[in-house]
Amino acid sequence: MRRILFPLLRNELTKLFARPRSVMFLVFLAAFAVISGIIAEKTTSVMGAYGLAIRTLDIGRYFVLAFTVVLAAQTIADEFRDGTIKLLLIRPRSRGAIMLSKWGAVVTLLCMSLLLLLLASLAVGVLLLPRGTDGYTLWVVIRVYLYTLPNLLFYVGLSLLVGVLTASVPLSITLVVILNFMGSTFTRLASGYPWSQWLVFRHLDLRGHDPSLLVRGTVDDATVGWLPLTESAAIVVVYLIVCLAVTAYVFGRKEVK
Amino acid sequence: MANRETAVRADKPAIEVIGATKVLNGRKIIDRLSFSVERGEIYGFLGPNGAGKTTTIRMMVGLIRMNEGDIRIQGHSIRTDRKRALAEVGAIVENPELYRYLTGRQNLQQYANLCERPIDRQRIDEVIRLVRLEDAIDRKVRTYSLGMRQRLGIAQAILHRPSLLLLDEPTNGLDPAGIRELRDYLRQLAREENMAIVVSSHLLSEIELLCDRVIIIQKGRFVAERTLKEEATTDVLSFEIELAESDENKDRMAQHLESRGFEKVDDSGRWTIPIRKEHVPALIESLVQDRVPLMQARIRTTALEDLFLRLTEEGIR
Repeated sequence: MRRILFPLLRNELTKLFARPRSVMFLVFLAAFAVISGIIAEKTTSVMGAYGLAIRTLDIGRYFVLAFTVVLAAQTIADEFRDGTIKLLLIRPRSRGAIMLSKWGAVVTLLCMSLLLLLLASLAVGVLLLPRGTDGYTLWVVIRVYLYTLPNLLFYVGLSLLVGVLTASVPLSITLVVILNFMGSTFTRLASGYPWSQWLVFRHLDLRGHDPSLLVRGTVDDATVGWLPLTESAAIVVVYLIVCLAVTAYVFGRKEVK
Repeated sequence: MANRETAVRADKPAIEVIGATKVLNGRKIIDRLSFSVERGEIYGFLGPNGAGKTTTIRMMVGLIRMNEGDIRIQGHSIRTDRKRALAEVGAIVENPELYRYLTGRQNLQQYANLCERPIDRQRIDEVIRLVRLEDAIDRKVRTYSLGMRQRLGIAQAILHRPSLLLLDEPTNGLDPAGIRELRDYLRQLAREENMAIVVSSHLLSEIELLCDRVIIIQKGRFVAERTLKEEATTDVLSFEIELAESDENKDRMAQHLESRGFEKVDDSGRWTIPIRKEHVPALIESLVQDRVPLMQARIRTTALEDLFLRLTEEGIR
């Protein structure tokens, strides 16, 4: 397994970082953390480094979502546009493994983005907001960052699926944006019905499961399922696996003309 | 090396196409096509535009599924044993598709990572030398000329020492020197690496110079297969002469030419005669002795071109 996936993943990462856009995005995230820190330093007196890390994530997660969703769709669309898909598919590698390596590469970049956002805002916070009294701890921050992962992983998988189905980046991003906003509205409307707990949207924001109010923040209680955290997470994983399996199946059957 | 020998079945043809059929929108675009190519052989795949050459090549590498029939590479079916079949193939389908934002070497590394058998640095360097890209290999492919991209395309196709090399229109965009270089190089590969090479093209003169054998297809169907060896040179050619316009004794000349079996083509003073290639020098000598005012004398078409036009036009009728 490692021998098959590792070279493929390395290929995808080479392609991802050979173009300046990925590095530029990481630089942009770091700059965003710095600017957030400067604004916080001017406007509040209670916020500390940990609080800053959570505030930057509140907005930064949408940057990361948008960028990785586009990237996931693009990693497919580009291969079709440039015709390199042919050379990729006439090698003795399973198409499923190629698909998985593409998802893996985008997820690697996603994790790097979150880690950078976390470290940059902590560093800026320590420098600019040394006397924060907002009560956040490092463990709270880490939990909040971890809770955003299922949402991002799922949408990257979904974007890959749309990318394979349509080879269109605009369609992927549109669908993800719509689902992201409509999903929570729909969940709120459907929250009275028992079947709604099987909807993935209900489990994409796991912060609501945390006992600490600092972590829960402004999460709407109505959208939180009554399943425990592990089962909530398991539902996301199942959706994600189905999504990737469908993607791999469609990709495997696709004829390249 | 040892397990490679066991994987390649020496007694099997490099590629066997057996009754391959492709139906698209209820229309058979490839209709029960069959042929086979042995290792060490260069095989020309000919047909007018839209005959189904590219579709067939895509079926050979599993990019398109066939509706009926089978394609076996070194005995491994592309339908049921795709991985082992593809391990034996190197190909350029249509254009040398490369990642333009990567360097030449990064491109080769990509393809090396996609191979089953590990490919070391040494082999990559060897292939780079073979296609003479040493000086440009660490530059981005974006900066390459079409000829260089074509060469890098061939480099990726032969990286894993396949037993079958498929090239779809490989001379596209190459200058005459590049075409010649490619020709010599493909011959060398067929001879030294014992590769079977299938070349599709609509450039007949190119195919005639390069290939040992050709197949002609039209509308997805088999039309003819010919061996292009020495006997081809004894085939009858069309020989054409053109007279100087200023000639005052046109009628006398016309009679003279007709008596030699020439046939008038048009009023501009052009005449053709069917003749065996080895008789051409004697004919020219006698025309000069008879003081025929020649503007030019040439072999109008090659044997293959004649054959191709005759067969594909028959098919159209």
